[in-house]
Amino acid sequence: MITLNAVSKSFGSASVLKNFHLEIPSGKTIALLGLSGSGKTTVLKLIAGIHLADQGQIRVDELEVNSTNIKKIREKIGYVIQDGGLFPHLTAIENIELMAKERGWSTMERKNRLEELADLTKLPTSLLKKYPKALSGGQRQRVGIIRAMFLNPDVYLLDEPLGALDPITRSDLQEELQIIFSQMKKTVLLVTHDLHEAAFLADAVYLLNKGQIIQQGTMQEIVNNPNSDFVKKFVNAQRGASLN
Amino acid sequence: MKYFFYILFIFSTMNSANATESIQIGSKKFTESVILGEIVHLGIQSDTLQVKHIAELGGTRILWNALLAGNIDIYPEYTGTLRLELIKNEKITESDLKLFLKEKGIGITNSIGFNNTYAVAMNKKRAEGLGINKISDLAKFPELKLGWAEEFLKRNDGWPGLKQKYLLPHRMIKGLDHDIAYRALDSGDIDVMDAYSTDASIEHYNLKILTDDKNYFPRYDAVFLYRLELKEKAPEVVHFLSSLEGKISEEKMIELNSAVKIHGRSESAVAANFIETNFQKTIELNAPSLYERLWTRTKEHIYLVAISLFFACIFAIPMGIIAEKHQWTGKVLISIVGIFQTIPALALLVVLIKPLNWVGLRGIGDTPALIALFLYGLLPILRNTHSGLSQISTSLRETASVLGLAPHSKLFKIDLPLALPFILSGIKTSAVMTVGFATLGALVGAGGYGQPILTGIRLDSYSLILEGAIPSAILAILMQLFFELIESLFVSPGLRK
Repeated sequence: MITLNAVSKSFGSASVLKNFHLEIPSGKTIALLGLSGSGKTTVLKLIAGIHLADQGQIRVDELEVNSTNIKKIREKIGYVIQDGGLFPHLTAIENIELMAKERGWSTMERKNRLEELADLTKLPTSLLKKYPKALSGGQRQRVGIIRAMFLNPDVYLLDEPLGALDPITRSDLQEELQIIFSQMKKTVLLVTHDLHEAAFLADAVYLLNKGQIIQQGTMQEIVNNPNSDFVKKFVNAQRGASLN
Repeated sequence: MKYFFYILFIFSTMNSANATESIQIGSKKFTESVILGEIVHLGIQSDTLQVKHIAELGGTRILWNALLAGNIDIYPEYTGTLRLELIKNEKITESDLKLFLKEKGIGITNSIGFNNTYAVAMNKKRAEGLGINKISDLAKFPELKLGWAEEFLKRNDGWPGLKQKYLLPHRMIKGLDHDIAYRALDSGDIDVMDAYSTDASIEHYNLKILTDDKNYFPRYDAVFLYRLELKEKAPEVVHFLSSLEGKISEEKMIELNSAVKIHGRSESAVAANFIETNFQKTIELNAPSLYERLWTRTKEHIYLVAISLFFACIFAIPMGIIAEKHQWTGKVLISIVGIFQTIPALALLVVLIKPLNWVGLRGIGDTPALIALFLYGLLPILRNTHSGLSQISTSLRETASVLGLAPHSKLFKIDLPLALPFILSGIKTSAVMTVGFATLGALVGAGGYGQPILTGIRLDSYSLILEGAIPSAILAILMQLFFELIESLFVSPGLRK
């Protein structure tokens, strides 16, 4: 369970979030949807402790996100960003096993976990020795997802995880992610600007504009009953785009 | 910082054998001084003494300070220089002079037999064409270009006094190296230069010495200055110095000078010959072959570069890491280190002598050279470490944090490997630069490829200059290749283009 209670955050003079509330129940996948600059990525970075809130409270399960708890919070979090966020100087397997080695996992433990996850994400093991620059966008993303899942965290924070992919790879990965999320019963926060992706993967959708939640509910509810002109426009624009 | 000096000290002593009774002779940066130094060097050499001649150590100040600090034990000096430049008392009597020196722990011999006074020289034809015979004639030709050695330009007994005494109106005055001045005079770049009255080149370049018609120049009798503790430590050395008194006349000195400068014999060979004819002592000169010379200097040069570069890395990389983390501290650090780059190398070397003596280190030799090179080497490494770390993208930094890497793991497993290509190219720049700068080490007696260059300029020998310049250029290229190899070994293939 993740809660944000009356959270405000500014960068310099620009206020990004003001008195922001959000609750993500355990085991659910929630999508934050909005235009760029709407504050959705900031929400995710606040939960990950990359930025600290100016005001309000953020909790991940029983832990409050602050500089004292940051280490424990991060142990609970799997983090995936656009293009995988892989370290270019490490091979795929070095990227994946980085934290497990840091935590002192044995070779056997690592090997077993890797096989399991490579299977789940359909990543050919022959690619593991390659450096990120030699992998395709989809392969990099899979490696990034495996890395995030490796230590089996409770919470996943995904920031436009499929943003840099071509449509076919993207839809393949969407399906895989859907299977993974439903199997795992983890708490997932997905940040995206893509309506369809949100509809496909999330149990509930929050639509953000200028640091405020404009509408929330299932995708069906939002599409059928947009509560404002902005929502109507946002929904229609994406519908149009996908029809063309 | 204190420990740093001690570590440097340990390294610098590693290079030189440390015998218990070691005598260091210094000489100034001109042939006559080197010959005199070499005469003492060969004259006192024995099984019980470890004698080293640090030839061409520098100008008067450097030698004098080195003698006072005990960095050297003996060097040849001239009474005129002593009176006017070092003691700044023209009228001091001989006994007062001795007393003055004694209080500083310095002894002085009687004149070794010649007076090498300053002289003003012109090209013979040009002087005759203009009808110039005396220094006072110069006042009639204010358009003449005067080229003075840097030292002469500034000394009390040099140009300032000369100008006053003869009321010389000249405006075109150049400061240049004494040895280069001969060539400048020959090619007509300058018309008048300072010279020494025992200088071999006077004949070689067909110069005319202008008569000092107002008796401006004082006597410059050649003597040896030595540390008085030698009387206890090595009385035979002081005895040898006294035995040189009155031994070398002006004609003899010109002959010795021209044997080196005109006939191209080595100072050692000329000095050995002198000792053999005057002291019935056989000198076995094992003049090193070109290969041996190159090998010794390569070792000296690489030693200077490697040690200073090593310490530059040890200091500059952490500074770069700090600079990237704390912007303000970073700016301050980079500015301070940047200032070192703006100090001319020669000035830095000279400035370092005193502080080094204060902390009990030798102000000449390897130590000042290493410290100067170390200071020069810092900036490129610091700057590149800083920019290498700064170019790591925000998303990668954030990812590393959210993954939960501890700060030191993040630094060593992510940040530094990602910045490594930058850091290595900073070290490479420093290394190549240091190879060039290290040639200046010869000015303070640190040896290296600068030694033959220095001697080559003094003796007007291109082959000697090339003997230093070519290996130095080759070493710089090898350094470049070496770091490219290091790069291919240590930079992740994932980062290569």
